[in-house]
Amino acid sequence: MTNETVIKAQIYLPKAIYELLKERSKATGSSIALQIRQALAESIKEETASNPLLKFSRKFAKKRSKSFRKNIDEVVYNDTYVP
Amino acid sequence: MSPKKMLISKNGDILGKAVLADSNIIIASLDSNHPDFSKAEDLLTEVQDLHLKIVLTDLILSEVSTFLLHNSLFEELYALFDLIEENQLEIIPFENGKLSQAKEIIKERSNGKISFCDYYSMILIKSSNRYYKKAILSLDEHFKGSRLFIDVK
Repeated sequence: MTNETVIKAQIYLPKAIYELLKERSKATGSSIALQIRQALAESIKEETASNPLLKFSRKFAKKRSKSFRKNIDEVVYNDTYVP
Repeated sequence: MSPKKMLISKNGDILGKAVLADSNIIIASLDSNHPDFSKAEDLLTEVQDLHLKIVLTDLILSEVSTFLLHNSLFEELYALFDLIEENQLEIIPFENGKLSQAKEIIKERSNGKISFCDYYSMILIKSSNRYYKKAILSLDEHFKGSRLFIDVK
């Protein structure tokens, strides 16, 4: 366990998964709780491995005209833009 | 971690935290001529390096979409919609329950220059522990006053 803040949580696991974790625990010495924490951390890391807005920027970023640099507030709130 | 200078100080628990992006950072990141293009790119890269989840409010989505429509950038607009439809980009929906907090913050800070969208972003990140360092990924100066701005210097 690291110095991270931890919260005690009670969870229900399907029996098959629990048995698998228990077996792994015996084999590796990692507690069931640690295996669950690690699996969740990996899942979150995988989910955030790519920033969608960075991908978006890298696909579309290019030299735009001066009018593109108009402040967004000017366009959205003060401009004469009529939908 | 990127060898670049840390733009966001790395304190506390990060994993699972989200960052709320403001519309100006998205727009700046699309224009390589924009004076804040590099800042926007660096911040977006750092968010990725830290494994933070980037989210938008529906109000920010509306601002960005309006800006893209105004510039007839339909390809960019549809690509943004695709990210949302494919669940790659999370949109935080507006909650009526936050309107009482909106009244409070507007009474405190109103100067005629801050949009409701920006007020709502402030309320949202103040009222949840989900957001990393309770900060907004923005290039707007007025977020500095609210101490919610991620310093990009």
